[in-house]
Amino acid sequence: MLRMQVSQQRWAGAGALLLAGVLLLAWGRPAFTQTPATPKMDQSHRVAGAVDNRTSASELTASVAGSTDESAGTVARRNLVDDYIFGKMEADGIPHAPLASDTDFIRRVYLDLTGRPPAPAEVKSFVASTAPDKRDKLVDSLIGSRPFLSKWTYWFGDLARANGNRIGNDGKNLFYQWVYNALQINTSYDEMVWLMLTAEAVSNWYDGPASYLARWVIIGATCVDTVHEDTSDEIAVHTAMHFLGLNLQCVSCHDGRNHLEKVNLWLTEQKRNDFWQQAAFFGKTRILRRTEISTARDEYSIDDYGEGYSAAGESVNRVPRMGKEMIEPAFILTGEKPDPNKPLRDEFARMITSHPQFARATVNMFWAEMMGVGIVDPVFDFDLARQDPKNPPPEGWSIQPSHPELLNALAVDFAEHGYDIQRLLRLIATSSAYQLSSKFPGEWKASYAKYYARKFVRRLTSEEIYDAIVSATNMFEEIPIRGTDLTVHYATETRSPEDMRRFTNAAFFLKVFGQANRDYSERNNQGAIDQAIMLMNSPFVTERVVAAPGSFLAELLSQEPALSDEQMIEELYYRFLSRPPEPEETARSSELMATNRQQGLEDLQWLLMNKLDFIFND
Amino acid sequence: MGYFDSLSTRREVIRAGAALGGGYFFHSLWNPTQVKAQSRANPRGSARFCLVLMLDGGQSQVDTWDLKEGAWTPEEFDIRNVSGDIGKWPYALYPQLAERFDKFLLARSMGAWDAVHGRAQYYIQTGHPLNLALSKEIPAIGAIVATEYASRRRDTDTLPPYVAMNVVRNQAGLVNSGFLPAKNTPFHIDTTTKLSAYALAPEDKPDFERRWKLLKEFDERLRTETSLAAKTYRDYNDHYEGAVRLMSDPRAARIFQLPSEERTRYGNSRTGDACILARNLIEADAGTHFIFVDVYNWDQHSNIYGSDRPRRAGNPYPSTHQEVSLELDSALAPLLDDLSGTKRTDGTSLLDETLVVCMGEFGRTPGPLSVINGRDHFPGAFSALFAGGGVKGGRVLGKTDEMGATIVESGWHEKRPIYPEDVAATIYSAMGVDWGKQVHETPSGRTFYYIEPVTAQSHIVNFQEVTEFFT
Repeated sequence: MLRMQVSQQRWAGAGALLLAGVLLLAWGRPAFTQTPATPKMDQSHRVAGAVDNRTSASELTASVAGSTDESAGTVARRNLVDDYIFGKMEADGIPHAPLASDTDFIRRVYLDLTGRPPAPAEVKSFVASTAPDKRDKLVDSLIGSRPFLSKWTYWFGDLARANGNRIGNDGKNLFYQWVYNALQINTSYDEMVWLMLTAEAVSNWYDGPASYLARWVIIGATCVDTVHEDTSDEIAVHTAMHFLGLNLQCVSCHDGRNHLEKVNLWLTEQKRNDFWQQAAFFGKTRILRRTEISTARDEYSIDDYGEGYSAAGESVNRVPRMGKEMIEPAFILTGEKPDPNKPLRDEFARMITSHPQFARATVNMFWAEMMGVGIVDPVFDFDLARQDPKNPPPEGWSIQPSHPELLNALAVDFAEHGYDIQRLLRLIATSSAYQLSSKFPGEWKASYAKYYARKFVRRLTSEEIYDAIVSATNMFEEIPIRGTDLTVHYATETRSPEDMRRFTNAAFFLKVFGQANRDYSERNNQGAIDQAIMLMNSPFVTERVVAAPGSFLAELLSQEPALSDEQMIEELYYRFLSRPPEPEETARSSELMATNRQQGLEDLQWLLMNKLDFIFND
Repeated sequence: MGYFDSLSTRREVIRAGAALGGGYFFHSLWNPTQVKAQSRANPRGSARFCLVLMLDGGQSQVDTWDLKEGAWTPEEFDIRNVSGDIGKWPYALYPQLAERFDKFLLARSMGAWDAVHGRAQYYIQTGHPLNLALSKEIPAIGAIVATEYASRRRDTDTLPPYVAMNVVRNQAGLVNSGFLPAKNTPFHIDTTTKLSAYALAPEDKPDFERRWKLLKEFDERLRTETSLAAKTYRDYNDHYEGAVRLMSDPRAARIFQLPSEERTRYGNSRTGDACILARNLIEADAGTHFIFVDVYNWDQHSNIYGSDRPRRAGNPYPSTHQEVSLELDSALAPLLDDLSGTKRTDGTSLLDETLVVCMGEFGRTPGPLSVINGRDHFPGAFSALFAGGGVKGGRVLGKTDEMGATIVESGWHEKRPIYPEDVAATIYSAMGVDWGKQVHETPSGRTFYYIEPVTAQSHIVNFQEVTEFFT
């Protein structure tokens, strides 16, 4: 009855483990190569650890995309991404999909870069354009646009779990504004991280980046810093996760050895004491609730007047520490100790942002967001003992990244160009690898998935589905941002999920599709019966199916001179699916309108919202 | 006052208990020495349905089911003495439950491991500590029951096995099926949205059927592709097929309706509405076996009795202690009546086969109110209500000291509080689920215990069914 994960790695070898330090030496920048390598693919490649997204994403792709008769032909290698992706497929004789059509590409890149599908006029003019560099131009126009800034600010809010319950309405609003502005002026990512890690603040309600740390405070039932080390631990876990791609949760309670042998080789060598040393960089950091009278006010100050990290510190959420001594900070990847003359968190920020793994983890995170699957996946489960093909792990284990050289090359490129997120996204979006069709000529084999031999298809996120429906129907809610006088129209413009709370139907719709609450629940993109009910029959949808006053459909029907059936059908297809209807779709849709035009159009709107290509990005 | 305020961890609670002179029975916990091997549990199987009403925010035990009168107690509570174990009872807040003591049991020796909402609420949903290293794979209790009941599912069952209602503000979110099959994930219902979404009204049926037929036609290629690779996509279509089966089931129309006279009888509230639906789901016996209802707004840090300011206009939630209490009373009493009054053909009542659990994630600080006239989080001692599914009502288990701060009698065979793990074991046992089960080789490589013997604080506890509920 209990399903076992097919991807479960069975640890076979008891052979010698690589010492992390040895590997790290091999990781100096000289070890990175810009030269496309074409190694023989490891046939035993398996991904250990948590659920392997690669399998499911490829199934998803195959299922939605079907196959196409077009021949793949030759695809131009447009940048370093392509050198590695196509170089490897060529070396291993793996066929790949052709480039996506213009309509597929524009919908994909709009959704991935801005979280919203393109407007029909944009699709039409893009398709009509004969400019050879029109795809590059489109990417350029999207990067930095307002929807782009909203999408990625929202994305950062999810990452940082910025939520009014934790940091107050003022805190989440200011954090949002800070991220938005940083993305707008394209602040280099290492600087953003630096600012978040080193923020000192009288209040996180007056200091944007301070909310990043304030959000992880662990409180007992009291307002004072009683569980100090728990907060340090929480920060150490999440900074390692977000900025190094490392999952230190397990070793935050116990040594890795005898626990993680089937999961992560590198972690088996890590000890709880190593983790404490990492956490000790925040040992002096105090995050104090700015209140004397209540536990219900979520405003925090951040300073560094604490006494340090004690191994005897009480814990409310971890295995008791049972130590005696004060812990001296040391960076978990290098063992480096901070300069005693410099602030601890400055030293931590320097060590994190200057380590090659920072760039590797970051590019991998953005790559996964754009490509559907990380080069290392899941993106926060790097196994540092399985990164370097020149230092292979013991028998039974494979190199973890699907494209280790590409990962390093992207990381070097990212670091050498000032940790420029916009440049990184542009590099990915303009590559032929990103622009491959999800439709595959000929027979698809599961083993092709790890080559990115075609584009992975993904279900739109909860917020993207909401936004696609309100924008296609032109039936928006005026969503007030809690704690401000602002209203917005899109879910991806809200500062955090609770901004939507007053719209019961919409808030519920978002929840059913797996919106994270940014508190404890994580985003869930799995399908479920209640999602189908929401799309077919929820008030949020049915209210938007009819030609209500102000809706796009009402506008369409009242247009003068009146549009033909075919024109209306085409308009709706563009609005919902960002493409013109196929001839038989037009014919079949016209039949719907034959007896009752309005009812036929409402049926068609309902059908378009329920066609699976509406809620999938391919 | 400041004293209770500072209680944050289990250990501090223990110290506080000791300081108050009543902490003697925590000793076995204080020095855990060995793991007690989990023997195979022998579940009693006295219930087929379980309804959990979680009092989101944490109910103040000393103002409700373990009443401690003080200078702070409003006169309007109408406190009277009840003969037997109950003692004092706030008749103005729970007038209807006061007439139904025989139908439920109160446990006054509940304990929580955590004093922060999200983590404590996670405990109620899963019976496990929130461990972020494992949170992606740990399933909710409801998902385990759903999985265990999968083999009993009949072809005619169209309702999902695990239904969750009104989980809007729960800080733990709604815990899903973890490593278990996704079909056992909770099916969300918000009773304030239109329930007609779930059941086709006769007048809507022709439109819907026309559209569904058209959809299969328009989307044929995507939905029916049979190649092996199309599996995930067909899975999504399976969700559609399951949804249409549910919506078209004539029983759905009876389940998903809230007639105004019924709503009035259940108190015209979200919680009343959820209880009506829960009753309908149980009565229909159409595939749903576990129901979780979030009963919002017990987190009264300030103005608990409403003496400082009136309820904010437009606030859809009751806000004072009196309001939330009355809402619960108005919903729970008719629910118990209807469940006990409705008999299956063999003469057993719905209440006989339904375990009802009603509890917060922790209690609230006892004694005088805080300076802002509220009560803060208190995990050391609180109360819970259990009914049906074999539970012998009309009783009180456990006893606290005069202030309600310390448990002085555990009321069951273990000399310690009843923890969320014990509640989970009790639910599993009543539902006929072997709660001693372990699942090896979860995605993290760990062993998953239905009832984990080690707490977040590394105490090793012999968690078990509270058999005393049933005897």
